Amino acid sequence: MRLPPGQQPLSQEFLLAHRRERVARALAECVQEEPLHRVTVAALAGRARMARATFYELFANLDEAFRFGVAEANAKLRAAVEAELAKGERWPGRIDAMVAALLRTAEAEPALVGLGLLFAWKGDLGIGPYDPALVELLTGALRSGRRSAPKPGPPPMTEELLAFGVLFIISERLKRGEAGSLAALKEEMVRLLQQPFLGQPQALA
Amino acid sequence: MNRGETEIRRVREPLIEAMARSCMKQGYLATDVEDLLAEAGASEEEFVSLFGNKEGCALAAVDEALTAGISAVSRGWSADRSERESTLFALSLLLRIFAEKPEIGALALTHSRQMLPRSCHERYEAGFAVLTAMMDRMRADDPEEGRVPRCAARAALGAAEAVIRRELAAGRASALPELLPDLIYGAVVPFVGQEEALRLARDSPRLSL
Repeated sequence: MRLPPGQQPLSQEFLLAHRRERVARALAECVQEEPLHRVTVAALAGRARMARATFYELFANLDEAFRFGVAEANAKLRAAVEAELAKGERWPGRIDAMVAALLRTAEAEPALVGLGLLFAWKGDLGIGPYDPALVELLTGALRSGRRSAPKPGPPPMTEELLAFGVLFIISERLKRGEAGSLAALKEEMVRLLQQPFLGQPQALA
Repeated sequence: MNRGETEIRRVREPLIEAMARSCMKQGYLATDVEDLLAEAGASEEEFVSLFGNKEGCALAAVDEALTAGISAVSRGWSADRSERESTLFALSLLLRIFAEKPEIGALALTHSRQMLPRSCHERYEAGFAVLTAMMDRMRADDPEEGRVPRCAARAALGAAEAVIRRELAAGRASALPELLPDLIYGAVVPFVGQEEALRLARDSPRLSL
């Protein structure tokens, strides 16, 4: 490949990462059309516009590609949320920013994020409904709300249930191909997350 | 119904139960019809006559799981209870079913979503829509229209589903009924506010009777 004058050739590492991402996105598109068990390496490689041999240079098998895709999707969601939380905004404003980051990422990469949210996470913690690290990030951000909650405060699983609920709603919209409608959910999602800690009148404000 | 049909129906339930157990243990893909036949003591001819193929058997198993769920919801409905209490009672019955028969819960909540053919998940979604409609009726208690987020019922059910899936996958099915107070609080707080949600969560042992 000849590059324009002044440009450096891309590193092997960069090319490899780029190709792996192409496979992850192609896999995410494939599972929107048919069940995972019907996806073949030939179909996946074709959609990723690469030869089967190239696929096998990147992944040992479909399962490895699937795990990579799920991990990639959840890493994108976590990075977006972490970037917002790092801005240091106080609760409840940080919930607003966290929801906006989740919705923005899902809208930008609907197929890939859908792959991460809709398929079981097969990590060290066993099969879970969603990426445990993503859930922990969301529950951690919500937990600060307890400081302002009237006593005795919500039951212990409240933050986790709220995180699951929000991820479920996003995954449902993505599954129905309604990524374009996600932004419109922001206000009610923020209200849903804040209200168990603030009480209704304050969450409405 | 002639004798032959009666004989075939005799093996229907064991085959469905074998399918549910196998899906929970090793997943739908790894489920082998031969193993199901051996476990249920059925012949291939009977299997084909009842279900047509492996997918048909999985569909029948999901239907059984949904029927068990809908039946629990119907049992929860009573003229002696308020609509809200009936909904929460149905939730407690569902938890008990999943605790006693974890393979039913795993089939309906996890495998129909991820591994089984799309038709199986469509059946599950129809059942989920019924539950959502029931929960949404709690909006009637809201004096100010539009105060409760539109996605509240689906978010609450989706959250409960996720927790149940995780507990089933972790082999903690028998402890599911203990989660009832937390699940009740999460389900009703958008509709009734904190104070009433805490009262309902505290009263949940009464629903478990």
